Amino acid sequence: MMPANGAGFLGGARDRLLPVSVPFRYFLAASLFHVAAWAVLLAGAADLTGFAGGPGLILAAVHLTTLGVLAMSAMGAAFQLLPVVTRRAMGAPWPAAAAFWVFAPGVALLTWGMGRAATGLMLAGSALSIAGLAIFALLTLRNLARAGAVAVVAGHGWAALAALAVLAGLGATLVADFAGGFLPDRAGLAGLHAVLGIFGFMGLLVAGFSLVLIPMFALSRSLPTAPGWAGLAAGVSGVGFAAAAALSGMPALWWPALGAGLLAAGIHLALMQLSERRAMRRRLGLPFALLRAARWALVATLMLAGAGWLGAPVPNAPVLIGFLLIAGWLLTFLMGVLSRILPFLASMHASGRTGLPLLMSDLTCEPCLRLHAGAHFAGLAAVATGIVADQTPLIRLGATLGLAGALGFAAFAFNVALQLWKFRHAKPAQRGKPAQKGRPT
Amino acid sequence: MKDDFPGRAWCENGQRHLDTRGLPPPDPMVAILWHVERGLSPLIVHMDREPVHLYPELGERNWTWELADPTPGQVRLVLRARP
Repeated sequence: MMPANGAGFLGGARDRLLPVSVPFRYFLAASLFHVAAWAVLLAGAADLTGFAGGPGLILAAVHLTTLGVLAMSAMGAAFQLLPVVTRRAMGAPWPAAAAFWVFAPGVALLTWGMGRAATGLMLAGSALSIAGLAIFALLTLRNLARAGAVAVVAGHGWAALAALAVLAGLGATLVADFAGGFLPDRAGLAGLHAVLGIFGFMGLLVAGFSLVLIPMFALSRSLPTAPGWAGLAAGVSGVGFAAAAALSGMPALWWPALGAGLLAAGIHLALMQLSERRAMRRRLGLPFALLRAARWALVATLMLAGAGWLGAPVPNAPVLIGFLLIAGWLLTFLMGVLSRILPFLASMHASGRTGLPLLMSDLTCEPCLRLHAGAHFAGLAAVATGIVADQTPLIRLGATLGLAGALGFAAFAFNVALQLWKFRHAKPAQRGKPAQKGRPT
Repeated sequence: MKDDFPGRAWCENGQRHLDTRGLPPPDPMVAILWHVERGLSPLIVHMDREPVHLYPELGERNWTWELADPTPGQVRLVLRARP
């Protein structure tokens, strides 16, 4: 017999794990960009309802969220979890680490430049961000190419990365256009960039990763693959129609896009509910409250968009829908995943040393997560109401609440990292204390 | 999943065995925790890879684990409830 750390064991899943410092640097950076995103929205609250895509604090807040939080978290999660799920090693850790050191400063420079309308900073930041995303895409593509065991997840990954390639090229073009003003239809390309970013890259990654992550978190059996493929087909069709609508300016194309999007969302919702119904875990907790809210935010926002196109009065509709998709759906989903995954990964890596892991329950700062969830939901409601009512004080209140929640989440994330660091640097006798408590999970 | 688990289980020399080889993720973890939650200790699990995602869950439930005679492509894990 040998202890579970199994030094020298061939073919074990541990061989496929990157060092814990790699995913954690992405997650901790995401938690800091999360704080920055709400703080910048607070500073630019007066500009939100009139936002039409130009440089300024709102564009900076949008990209602090999409690149700094959403893409950053997706990169960390993909580097850590994909190799275990696909049973294929990611390879040497340095490319994944290098992607971070290019991407994180790139996002900081890009968003700083957007906030100050400084074209040079934006160009430098977009180049670095795209370089980081390119490394991520190449590593992920190589891993997905051999992922026969989870083909439906790989299919979502392939489609998301295809969207990312176009999205990144468009992003660089749009930034260059701030300096040169050479684009004949900037609004159309900006719309396409948004569609590919929200639904193509992040939306398809969310749908694909959820097929494995949610059953793993809930402790329920693997999901049927046929609905997953149907959801992917609907999602890709929806993105295709929406992209065509944004680019061509033909409003009629938004209807098939909406229909396909609602079908994809419905399939996703049904699969996630099936997973939760079959869950062995008795208490799904706050992470699942966030995950459920995110799913319903997606469906509600799509229906709101449809109502707007049918002529229902939806004040400031483009800004409201954009905010609900990015913050209400994607950000809420990512925060739910991160609040579950951070203690889980820390405990998993700690177990490699002694066979006596740090308990997930001991790593989780519940008051921090409660503060985050409460302030996040209240912040979303206040900002959305402020957009509809065109009331800057309400938007400021919502951004303040969101900022408070983001600080709570950052405290949770850094507490997990600190506890793991202490555990890994403790003497073996200090960390070998057996667990005494059996908590309900 | 209330009354069923993925994989194949049997008893041998008074010990419970569970074979989760070939199952897609996260079914191996689900099958093992189904047995763990019913206190079926010791449990010998036959897997095709080391279940790193399982360890945090075992720790929460106060169970220990040992890898037994690992060979490429096959893992045998012995799980026990901590006294």
